[in-house]
Amino acid sequence: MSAKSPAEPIEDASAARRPAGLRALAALRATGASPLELLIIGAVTALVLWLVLYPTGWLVWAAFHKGAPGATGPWTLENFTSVLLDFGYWQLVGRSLLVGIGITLVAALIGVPLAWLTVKTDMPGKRLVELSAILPFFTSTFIGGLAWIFLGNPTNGLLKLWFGLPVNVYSMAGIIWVTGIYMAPYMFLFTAAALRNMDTSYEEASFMCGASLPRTLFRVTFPLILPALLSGMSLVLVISMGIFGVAAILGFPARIVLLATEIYSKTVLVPPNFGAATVAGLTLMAITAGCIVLQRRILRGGSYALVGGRGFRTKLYSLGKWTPLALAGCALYALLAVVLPGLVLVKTSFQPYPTPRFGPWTLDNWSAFFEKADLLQTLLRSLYLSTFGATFCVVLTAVIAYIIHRSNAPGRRVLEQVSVLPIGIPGIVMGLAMIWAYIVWPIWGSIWVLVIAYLTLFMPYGVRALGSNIVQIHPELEESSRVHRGTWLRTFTRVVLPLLRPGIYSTWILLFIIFIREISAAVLLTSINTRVFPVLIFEQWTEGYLNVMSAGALLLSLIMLAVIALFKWGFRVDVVPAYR
Amino acid sequence: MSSLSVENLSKLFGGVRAVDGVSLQVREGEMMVLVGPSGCGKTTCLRCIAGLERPSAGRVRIGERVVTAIEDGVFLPPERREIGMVFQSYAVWPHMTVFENVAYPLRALGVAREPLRQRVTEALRLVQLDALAARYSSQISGGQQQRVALARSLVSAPKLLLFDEPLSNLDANLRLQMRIEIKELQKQLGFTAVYVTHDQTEAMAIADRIAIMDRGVLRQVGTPRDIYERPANAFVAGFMGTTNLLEGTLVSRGPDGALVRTAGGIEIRVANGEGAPGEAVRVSIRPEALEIRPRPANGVNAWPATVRLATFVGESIIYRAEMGPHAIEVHARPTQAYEAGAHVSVAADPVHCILLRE
Repeated sequence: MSAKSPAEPIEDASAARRPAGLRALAALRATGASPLELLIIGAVTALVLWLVLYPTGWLVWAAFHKGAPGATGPWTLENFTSVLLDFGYWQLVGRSLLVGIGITLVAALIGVPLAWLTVKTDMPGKRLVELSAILPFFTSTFIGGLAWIFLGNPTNGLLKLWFGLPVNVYSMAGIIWVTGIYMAPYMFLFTAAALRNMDTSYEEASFMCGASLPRTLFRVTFPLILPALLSGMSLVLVISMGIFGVAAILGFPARIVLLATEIYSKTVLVPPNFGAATVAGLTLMAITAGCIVLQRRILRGGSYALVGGRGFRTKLYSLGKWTPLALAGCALYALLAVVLPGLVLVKTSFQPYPTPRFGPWTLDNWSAFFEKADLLQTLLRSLYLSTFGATFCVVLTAVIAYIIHRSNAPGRRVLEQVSVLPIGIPGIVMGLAMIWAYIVWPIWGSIWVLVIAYLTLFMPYGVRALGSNIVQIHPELEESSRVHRGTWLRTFTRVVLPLLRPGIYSTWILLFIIFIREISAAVLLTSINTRVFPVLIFEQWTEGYLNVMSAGALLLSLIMLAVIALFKWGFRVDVVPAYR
Repeated sequence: MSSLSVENLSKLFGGVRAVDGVSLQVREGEMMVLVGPSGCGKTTCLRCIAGLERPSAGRVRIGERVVTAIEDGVFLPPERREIGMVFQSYAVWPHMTVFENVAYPLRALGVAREPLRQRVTEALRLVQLDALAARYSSQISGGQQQRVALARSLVSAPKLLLFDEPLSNLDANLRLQMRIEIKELQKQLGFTAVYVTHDQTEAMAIADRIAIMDRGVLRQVGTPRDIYERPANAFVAGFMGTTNLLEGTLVSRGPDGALVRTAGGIEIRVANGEGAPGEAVRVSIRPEALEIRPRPANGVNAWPATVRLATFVGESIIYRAEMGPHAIEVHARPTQAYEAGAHVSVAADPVHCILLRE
């Protein structure tokens, strides 16, 4: 039908005659991207590549060289041969794996039933149970571990003195148990989300076929949420393999060394052995990276599509006569993870020395934080660092997530892969890598080293959290802006950012809390002038000031709870408007 | 002078040709409807015109301006194309009031406060939403959101308006009403528009001309009446309304038309048509072009048939009947009624029997 129209004047008729550089630019422009868009995408990609690959690259390079950070020597394989030929090293690796797997199992055995009870049954007091299952997520394994020193030490632990329980937290089982109960919230959150999204009709179909509840649970429900369970378990395994705080305070007294604490000892204790520390760091990173690869491999076959999209109701199972038992289980968890540790920290923080007795009482531990200049400074430093760090991290990850999900820039796949890589880098390994990478830089010894380390380590959390929020924004909301005269930048600032605001707030809290309680990387990177609060608490422990330590741990918890409360009731972050 | 010209537009997704060499001219003030089954490439075509999708090849000109010329490295981003678009999901921004939604294109253009307020109010008045200017999208109905989207696309007086299945999320009654309103607005304001839909009734109702797509290719372009009465091929005949397609062989062709004999030995006179004797052809006869009457079957194009099923649907009776080996459908006025099993004759004017080649 279309008669060939005569040649129209073309705006860019001279394109072919331009020099090569201009032609390349014109080709980029032809993708429809503005120069600013290309500049931002290029800069962010370069920054992320730098943040992740520079220190890790240094770590690998250092493993093959003699010498110490700042003074590397000639090429060598000695670091590997001296360590890998040592049977004791393989025991260390095996022990660490055993502890990691143990923690994961404890977390799953607590978190999954709790999630099922809260989401799928008519158990009373669900909100309270949910709160007690999530609270430990917001405090930390480190603070939990500190509290459990008083509860479960073998000489005058309260569980032993008060209840006659033969508990000893200074053991492998102790490390597994204490870390496990504080990792359970991860399993709870993953499982609860999967159960909430699951269409009940799958289970109803099973009942209609005559299957009992246990049969339905194990043949239908759990297989359906298996991808979520595996994701949660692999995350827990990766995190717990790299945990430093609990491994140190419960492991050192019993001379139980794990990879994370081995890296610390070989780096910090005199004389340092950077070669051994670096090989241990690489080993740990290889294990965690292996977990993640394995998880992706398994999940590729499994499908999330089972989680139906429309018309799902959640039918609640009636617990009936099992209600008291279920409640007792939940109460026991709340008691062991939140109530007892909290109370024991409060009690100890008001006492002059560790004692099972009630009294004598003192306020000295608390006033120390406001009277001693270095303690107060450390507290303020941590607050600054977390506030600005979380803010910068949110901005960076918002742009990263936006590029990954909503641009068609050529490099976005690389950005996607590299920006979530740090999930597999344990904090302590990052700390070691940072020493190698930045020791000769002028920023060494300043707070900036910590900012860079935190930003790199926790970037994946921001990218994931904001990414899931960006995906919720209907693409047509952005396209509508582009069509109606909005440039790329205008679309981002006027449409995407405002729609993303609830997600940005909740991601900010998450990052703030992760930043302020972080210890694994900090413990290797802080000096007296850049010490952060969790490291200070750790130092109180090493020096035996257990009561000041308790007050510090409580103070840290109170700060985190206050920030959450502020956002929840002050900014109503939980009240997320349902944007289509 | 056409207001929109698309030349040889192609879009490949991976190895799939979603749009395959589409050329289309839309005249000033014309409503062109792109219609076709889902996955035929009509939306991709529209998005290429909007600049939301970068075509693999081809040229697009809006008014005097070349906005896409892939071969010459020209591809303007959407915001520089001076168009308006109404999306399937409405895409009304939930964090802005109705007023701010409509003001958005003008703010981007840097229009001063007072003229901006006037133009937004005027646009809202056009879609009868001036009373709701301060509301948010969560506080108005789906139909009202669609009007906001319409006002937003109109407010900057764009050269070209694009509609991407704008009514498919509305309920049936509202859809009919909005269809009429869009058509009236278009006649009143005289904008040029490309309108994508999968609903052929909607296409017929709203279009000045219809372009039918199938598997990335344009199959026919013409007025609704043209397309309905003179489909160019079996796909168009089948897609635009129901039809009876009878396969046969062209027997002879003369000045007064052609004669087709079907596989079942039925002879059909066709008023117009091309082709050589012996060629395999198909004849399309619309159900409402068939007349049902008592036997005997006398005259040109009257054939004996047997009623198999009669369904009363109010304004007509739908007969399923057997005409020799052919199953046919007849839509007749309810004044005559035949029971299932009745022996009848079925007739059609040769003018309404369309010869289809290919």
